[in-house]
Amino acid sequence: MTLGDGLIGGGRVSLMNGTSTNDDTVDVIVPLSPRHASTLRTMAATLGADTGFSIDEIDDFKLAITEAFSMLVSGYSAQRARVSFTGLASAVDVRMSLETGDAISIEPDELALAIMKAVVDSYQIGRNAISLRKVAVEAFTPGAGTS
Amino acid sequence: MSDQGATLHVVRNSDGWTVTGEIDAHSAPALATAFGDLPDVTQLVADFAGVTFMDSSGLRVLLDAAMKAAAAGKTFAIAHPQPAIRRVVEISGLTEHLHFLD
Repeated sequence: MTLGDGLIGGGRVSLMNGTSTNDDTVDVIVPLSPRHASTLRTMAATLGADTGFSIDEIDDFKLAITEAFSMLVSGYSAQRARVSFTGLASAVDVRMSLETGDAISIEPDELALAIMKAVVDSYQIGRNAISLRKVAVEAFTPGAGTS
Repeated sequence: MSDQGATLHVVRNSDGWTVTGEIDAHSAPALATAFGDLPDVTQLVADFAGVTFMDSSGLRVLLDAAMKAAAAGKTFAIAHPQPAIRRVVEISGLTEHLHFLD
């Protein structure tokens, strides 16, 4: 995996193996194995910080990414996942699908769903992907509260 | 690549365990194995001061441990949880089943 230079939210990013998607999207392809959840958490923490997430929001974002990835692993452990992080003005959208783009069928347990509902602003388990959005609401604003 | 993934260390002590690292679907089985052998005390404590991440996989292991402890006439508590760990227990609605010691 090779990431291009630049920061999400600050302009152009999104190079993975030399392939550009759109300007604020970072694509990662990982084997659908539980051990690679930590790789995605590291990426989520970095992109969340770049977007202006607070520490708590970054923790929530990492949790959401891990739960979503675990859902996909539980049904498709022999395949690879494409995870797309798209930076918005003060949010990050994530789309998690099979690398092949094939349809998915997931039956998440109640505990995982309860966590997802609590830590992201929206999520959807669709026909081809799990999508979620995390919005920065506690973000630190430089200079705020100072005179 | 073989050692990639969440790193978790569990050390058993006189009244329970000291756990450090991250708990997810990759590392949770190791925690479950460690919790499988309950120390011979009535108040079991899992020191989580060094646990920096936990997902639903970890919650399930903790619930199993708490239930196993209760079945054996023991109590089970999580000591010194970091805010992220406390939060995942709270948002999961499991505070009645998983008890904290600060």
